[in-house]
Amino acid sequence: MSILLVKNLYKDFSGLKVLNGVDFTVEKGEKHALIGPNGAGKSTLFNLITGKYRVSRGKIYFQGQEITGLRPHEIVHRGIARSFQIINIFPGMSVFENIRNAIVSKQQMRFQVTALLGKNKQVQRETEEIMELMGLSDRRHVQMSALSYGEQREMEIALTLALDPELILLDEPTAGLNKMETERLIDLLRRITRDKTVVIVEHDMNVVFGLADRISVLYYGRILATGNQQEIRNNEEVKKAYLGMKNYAA
Amino acid sequence: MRRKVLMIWVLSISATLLLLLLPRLISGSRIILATEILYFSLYSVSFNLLFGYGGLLPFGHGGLFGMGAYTTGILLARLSGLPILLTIFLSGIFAMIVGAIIGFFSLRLKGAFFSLLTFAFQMFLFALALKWRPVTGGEDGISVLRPEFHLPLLGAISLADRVNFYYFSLVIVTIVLALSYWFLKTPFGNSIRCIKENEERASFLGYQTYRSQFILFCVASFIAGVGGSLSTLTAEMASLEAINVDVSFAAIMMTFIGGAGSFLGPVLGSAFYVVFQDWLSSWTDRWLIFMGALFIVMVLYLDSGLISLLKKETYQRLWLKD
Repeated sequence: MSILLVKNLYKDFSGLKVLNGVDFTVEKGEKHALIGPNGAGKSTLFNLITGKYRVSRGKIYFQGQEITGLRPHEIVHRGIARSFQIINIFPGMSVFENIRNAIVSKQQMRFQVTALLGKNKQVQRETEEIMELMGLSDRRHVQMSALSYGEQREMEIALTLALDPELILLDEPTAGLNKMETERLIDLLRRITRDKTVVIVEHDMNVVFGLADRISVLYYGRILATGNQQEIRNNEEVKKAYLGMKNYAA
Repeated sequence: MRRKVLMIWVLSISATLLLLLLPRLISGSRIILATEILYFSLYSVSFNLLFGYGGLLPFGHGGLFGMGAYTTGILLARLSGLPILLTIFLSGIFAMIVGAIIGFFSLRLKGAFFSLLTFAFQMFLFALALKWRPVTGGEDGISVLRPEFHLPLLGAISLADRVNFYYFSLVIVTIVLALSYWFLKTPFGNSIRCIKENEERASFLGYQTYRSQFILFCVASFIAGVGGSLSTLTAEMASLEAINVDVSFAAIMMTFIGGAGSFLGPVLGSAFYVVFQDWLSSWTDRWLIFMGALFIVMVLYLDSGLISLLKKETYQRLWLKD
């Protein structure tokens, strides 16, 4: 049974048809890259899976259960977490507080009023663990605005991973990073997501080929092809669609 | 760092001593002002739970204060013999119930629409208070007498005495403020802050905006209701002055002037507001104009409120601005 099954998905924004019958499956434990030109609908697909937008038609199944139409927080608690293409962190809070927000949610403590948060040792410990994993421990009290762009990108990922989800959706995690920062992030991702399922939207082909077990090509609202690196590289339709796109030339 | 901790200790102890010895230091009629500051502090802190911590700006918060005020008025007028603590508690509960209804609808809206819908609800409550003479006394309001306070071992204390009532209010306000402060430090308090910081990301981390804000709104309504209840007991009257638009406006002023970014800011703002209003109105009817002018000056030069004067950074910023 696939961990994620997207069946015949359509999304129409008042006449603008962004997704036109997407069929997409993700197997448990795999690293699945989603590539395609800008405007192909990759972020929209993420937004539909995570409940930000309503589907126009079609169904989404996670671990065998239908999640179409559920609200974002419900989907999070089922075990799907996403990161954002544009950095979407908690600006007025420190590194520690940001990650702690995710831990509090993971521990189902969002509505707890019977004890002080600061005194909760378990939350403290888990937050420390994530910070250490991401290499951010020495920046724990720093406000978001004082972090470098690269560090903010890491925070963006940290928030997603801190939820300890079954399925991780990363939306262009290396956007805006230089070559060194990108390599560092990919190395980090490889380590941290070893036994997790990841779907990653990316434009940087080095990242895609370095990380992905399977690749799906989304081309103007439809999946053009799915396969491993070799299959995609040799696929005629994919080559035709990408003709002229320099960064595809491996 | 040690100097800062020392300063906080010194300030806290002086403030506590001042509060406890106040009746010795000022004249009898002035103690009423001090009691006003106490209940307004509760009211403005409850407003700041929504504004400073929740990121919500209700224009109709006075309606909840008024609900507490009138509930106390009606209970005291009709059910003599009801213990005073129970009266205050029930006033808070009733304000909370009304707040739940208002919040249920208003929190579905964002921004200005939220603000205006809460205001619309308040105007409805005001009209109700004005027109329903048999219950609310209409324009005349409801006159009440402060009941005795029965303590298990010490017997009955007469609250008709202003000084006694001041201490009574002081204890209640201190307890409720302490509970509110603690409330904000719980995981739920963190959820509220989190939602205010970045609502979208919060929802993608599993937080529920509507539900969380609804609970906060109910809690803030309860506290406002307790404030209103104390106002009726202080003035020995429940009147339209407790539920009109000025009360809502006062919450915004007190919170902002004191400082919305800190827990005690609104308390400072309430003290300032009450004292300033009393002083101004002794030589002009149009004191609200001056209060408004001060508000504008604060927005321009001291938008973190008076409480930020305790912070060194404020002076650096003001100096540099010139």
